[in-house]
Amino acid sequence: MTVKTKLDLNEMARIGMNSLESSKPQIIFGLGTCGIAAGGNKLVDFTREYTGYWQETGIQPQIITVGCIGMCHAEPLVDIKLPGKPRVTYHNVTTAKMKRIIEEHLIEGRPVKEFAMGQLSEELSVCEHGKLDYTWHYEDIPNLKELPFLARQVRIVLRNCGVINPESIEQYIARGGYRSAHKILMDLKPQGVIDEVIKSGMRGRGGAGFSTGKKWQFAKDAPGDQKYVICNADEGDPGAYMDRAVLESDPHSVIEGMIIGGYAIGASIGILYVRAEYPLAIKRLEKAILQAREFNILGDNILDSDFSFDLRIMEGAGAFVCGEETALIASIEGKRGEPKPRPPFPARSGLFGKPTNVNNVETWANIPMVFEKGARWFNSMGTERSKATKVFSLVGKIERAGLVEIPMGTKMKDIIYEIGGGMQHGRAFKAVQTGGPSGGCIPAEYLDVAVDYENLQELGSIVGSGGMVAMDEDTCMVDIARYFLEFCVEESCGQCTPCRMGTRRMLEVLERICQGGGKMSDIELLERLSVQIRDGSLCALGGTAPNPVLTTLKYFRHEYEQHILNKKCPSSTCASLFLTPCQDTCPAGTDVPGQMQLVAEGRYGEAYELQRQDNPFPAICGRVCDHPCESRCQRNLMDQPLSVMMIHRFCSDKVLEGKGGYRPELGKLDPTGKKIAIVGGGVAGLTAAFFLKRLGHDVTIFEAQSELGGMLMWGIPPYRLPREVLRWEIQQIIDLGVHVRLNTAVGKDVPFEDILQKFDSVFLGVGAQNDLPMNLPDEDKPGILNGMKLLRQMNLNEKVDLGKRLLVIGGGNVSVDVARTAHRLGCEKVIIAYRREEIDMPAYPEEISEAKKEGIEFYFLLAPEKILVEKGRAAGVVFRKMKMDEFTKWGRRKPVPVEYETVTIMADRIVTAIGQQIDADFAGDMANQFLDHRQRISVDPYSMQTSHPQVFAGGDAVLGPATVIEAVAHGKNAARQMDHKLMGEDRLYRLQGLTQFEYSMNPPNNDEPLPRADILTIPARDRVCNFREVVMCLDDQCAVMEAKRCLRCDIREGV
Amino acid sequence: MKIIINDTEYDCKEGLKVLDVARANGVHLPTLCFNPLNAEARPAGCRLCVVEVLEGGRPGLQSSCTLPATEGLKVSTKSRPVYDQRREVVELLLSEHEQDCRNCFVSGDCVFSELCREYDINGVSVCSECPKRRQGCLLSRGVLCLGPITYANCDAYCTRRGYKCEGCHSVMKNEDLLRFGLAAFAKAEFTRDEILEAARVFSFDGVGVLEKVMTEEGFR
Repeated sequence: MTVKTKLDLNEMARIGMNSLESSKPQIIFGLGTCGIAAGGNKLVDFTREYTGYWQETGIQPQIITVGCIGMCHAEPLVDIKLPGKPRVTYHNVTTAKMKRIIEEHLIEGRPVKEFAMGQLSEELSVCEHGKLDYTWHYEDIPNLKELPFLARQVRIVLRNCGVINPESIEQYIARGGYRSAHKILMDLKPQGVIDEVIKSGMRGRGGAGFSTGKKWQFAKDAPGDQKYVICNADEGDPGAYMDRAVLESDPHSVIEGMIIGGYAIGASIGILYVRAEYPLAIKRLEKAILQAREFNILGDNILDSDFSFDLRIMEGAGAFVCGEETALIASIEGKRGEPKPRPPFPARSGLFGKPTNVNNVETWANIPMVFEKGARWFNSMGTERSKATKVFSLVGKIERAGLVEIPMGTKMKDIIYEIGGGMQHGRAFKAVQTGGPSGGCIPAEYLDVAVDYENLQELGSIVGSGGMVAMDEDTCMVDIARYFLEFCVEESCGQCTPCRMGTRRMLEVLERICQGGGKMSDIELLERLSVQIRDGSLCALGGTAPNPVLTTLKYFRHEYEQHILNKKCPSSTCASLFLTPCQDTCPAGTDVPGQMQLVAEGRYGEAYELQRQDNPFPAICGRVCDHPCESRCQRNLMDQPLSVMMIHRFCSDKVLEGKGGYRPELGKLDPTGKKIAIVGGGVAGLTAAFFLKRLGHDVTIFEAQSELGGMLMWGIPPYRLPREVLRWEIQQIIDLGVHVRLNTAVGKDVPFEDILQKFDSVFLGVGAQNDLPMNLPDEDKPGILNGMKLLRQMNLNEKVDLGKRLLVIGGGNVSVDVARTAHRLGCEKVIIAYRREEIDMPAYPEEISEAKKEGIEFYFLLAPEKILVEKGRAAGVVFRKMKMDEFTKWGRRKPVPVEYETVTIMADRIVTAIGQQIDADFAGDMANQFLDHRQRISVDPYSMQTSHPQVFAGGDAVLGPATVIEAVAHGKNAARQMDHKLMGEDRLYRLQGLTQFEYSMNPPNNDEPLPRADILTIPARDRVCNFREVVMCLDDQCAVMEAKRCLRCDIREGV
Repeated sequence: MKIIINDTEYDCKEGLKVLDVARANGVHLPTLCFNPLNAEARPAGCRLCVVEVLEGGRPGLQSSCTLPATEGLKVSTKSRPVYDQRREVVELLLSEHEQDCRNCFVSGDCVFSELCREYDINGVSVCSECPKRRQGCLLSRGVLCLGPITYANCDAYCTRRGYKCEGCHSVMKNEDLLRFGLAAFAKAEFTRDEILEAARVFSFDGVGVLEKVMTEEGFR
């Protein structure tokens, strides 16, 4: 049949509609390359094998393959369509699921709700013809249109993807296809077509965003008897695959776009340049072209007009640079795929010297819709300068990966969080890389950017072909820059010097940095080379190749500095810079795998001492650490992370009970005669004392309170950290021979200047104990208590009057500790109010869940506004309701007040625990020398040195309220740096060599999934009116089993 | 038609490129990939002929060999960005250049050494400028010439006149370059101390790197 008139198109649309809305039940498989990779073909075979079953039941279903709907996270997808009823989409289908789906849905007509993702009861795209709308729909199955992944999408390019059979021209026509081409060939002059495209504001979707209409105009105006249109399907960006999806799922839309373009500029031949890596796309295109020729949609005098047009497919060998139009043309001509300098532009002298117009797949697929719905409609979407929609392939460490087509100007945060569903495993978002190797990284602080051509360019990135790689906190940005640059080095055609050699030199520098051999001057070198390559290269590949480096240098310079100065990869990615992820993540560098092996071998005492080499507080860290190591445990990828903290605790409990077995003595260096003063006997101070004493120095600790321990003693309640454990571990440090002067406040009892004179070096570990004020009126009224002060009183067993109803304001560990202690002291009702959401609470999640078990009430998104005063006493607080809004620099949402909405909470006592600051009395007049604008001691983060050459500082006084392990790390680093300064060489590593621990270095055989050991707690009802430790220790058997789960990442084969 | 190069107006014919106009009028533009014998092929690959377009075209750096001369075009061939770009290109080319200048057949007439002199790059040794090449090389005649380990840019003033190089342009500080240079001394049977003594005359502080490389290479 030859399509001649509109009537024939209608006839074919009817045939197409009949196959879309068949009277037989249909099983529809999503078989794009992605669906096949996920096992789609296996499912088809499985279903075909069921034919015997079909004959029994008498049902003859049609098995239909469609393209990709774009939900890559849910592949393989199978739809079941019963006559007259909407399609139901099943996700992540396995053969077992498939069997049930066939039996229940196809045969009995009951959809399997557990496996169903949604039903296609409402049209997903902007299509007018062949709409898949149903008045009737299944109950209890969500509409696909309402799924968060699809709800915000406006599908123009992807209008038919996953809906029609790509190998059926009738279905394409049923969905309104070839009507635009027919209409144009009948009614419009070529110039009219171009005017319409210009009016639509269409810009090239290949990356640079040049006006499509203007480009056509140039090609039309260029003199020449023969002209060409080319479809650029040489999609090569890592992480971008929308062109492939369109070609595989809807090849006719590209063909129709090219017919319109060819008519507009007067070309009689169109060439599809597809890379050979897309065999399925080529196969479907070939089939589509044959079908179109059969129906006289391609060929001579197409669609009954006097315009002749035909298409050819050219397979490219897959060079990235052939995406550049001049290189692409050279490749079609049979030459080396090398770009040529422009001008002359291809519009004047392109393929074989004839005027040529090159557009991207996505651009061509847009064109039919511009004419079907009109330029005005097209122009009404998007931002002022970027119109309509863009398809992005959202990939990376994101929950819902896939193809998303969104209107220009959609906020980045909506793409990442609403469509993409945020990061996998609840990790924090770090950056998004747009535009592939030519693009840049956009950090969390710019999540509010509205995505369009100009805005991304302003941030140093590009829209590019539309790759969007989301990266979480475990991604090393230096490594990302290295990876993309490596790609450019491989793909550089080698024609011009800056790109050929410059990118190579940059890669060498980046590799050096990743291997820990970088110098600070390397950063400047990278910047200089980047600018020269960008400005001096011949084509866009070189011109954009430095973008990943430039943007990571702009937004993540600190990571480069960490790699260079600290020789540390903050996200444990650069393999040369660390041994195991857990050890690298632990701020104190605890040798976790070694300890696990020693525990597995039953050598608990040695395990304890192995940890004490790096961290003098194994027992304490076994109880109150926030265990960052566990979040990076490689076991995460198999089942659950190792319970590292509980093993720390288990070893130390064994040693404390005297059942640890052999305990080697940690080595010491010879006395040096240097005197060191440590101001403040908290975690950081004690750690510094521990290492400095072992390094051979004479150490004296000055402590203002009656006992050592700092926050551990006064801030952490005994039910989390029993006092005898704490005292035992501190005593071990003192037993090394550290001098301690208790009840001696520096600044009051001993002048700071004296200490500076008498000691060679001073460490300030004074902590941050003063509560931050809320800055509200009436804050000094009776009835208002300060969190930290109250906690200290309660831990000292002083009598405090808490009343019956206690309100705690704040979300940190202090506020939860106050609440839980008050609950134990007999408060009837304890309420915690916090101004953000629960996931934002700085308190440990374990503590929050235990507090909830104990009956403590939590209110979120409440910020204190006014204190209610009755009879001179505070009686309650008026809160302003908050909502989470824009992202801040740290990738956290900022709470903003909701207008006219307040909540009042009445209470007998109100505790403020919104943060602490330093008590600066220690230095008297010299205080200003040390403090920064946030009232913290300012130090150089790498050398821990303050502005005074003799004075070092660390812990909470520097960081603000921080974790125990961070304070340990500060104390350790300060000890190393002080020793380095005094002795003129780095000697800390020598301590490691003094005690030898020998344990098995054979790779373990434990790759069977095994859940992690349960952490047992005492029942909530036993926790009132006493301070018994809540968390119980593992027993021997459990602990050894848990330790044996360690995968021993420290064993490197062949090393 | 008139175009402006470095504030001077030049008459030119239609269809020419900026490079052609400049060359015809004696304005210096360095090139490496442009071959006058095959003037049609202009790969525009070396990026040394870049000029900065100031007016009358897309602003920024462009290769003059492919930039059409159009009415009112105003370009600069020696602005700061142009200089930086060319310098970078020469440095990049040198980074993969076999630095065996002493055995190179273009010594004394080396385009790289000219470019290094022009863009003030310490990248090649005096041997690249020395016309004596192999047979007449002072080292092979047993004279302690410091040419192989001395930065060029003097146009080999001394060796052209028959004297040995005393290293007055300072001994190289780049380890890779020094390794190439030291290889030249290996055959000539000079001791480590003799070379160091000679090198100290003009670069007393600068021989630290030389000493280090000598130790690494096992030079005695």
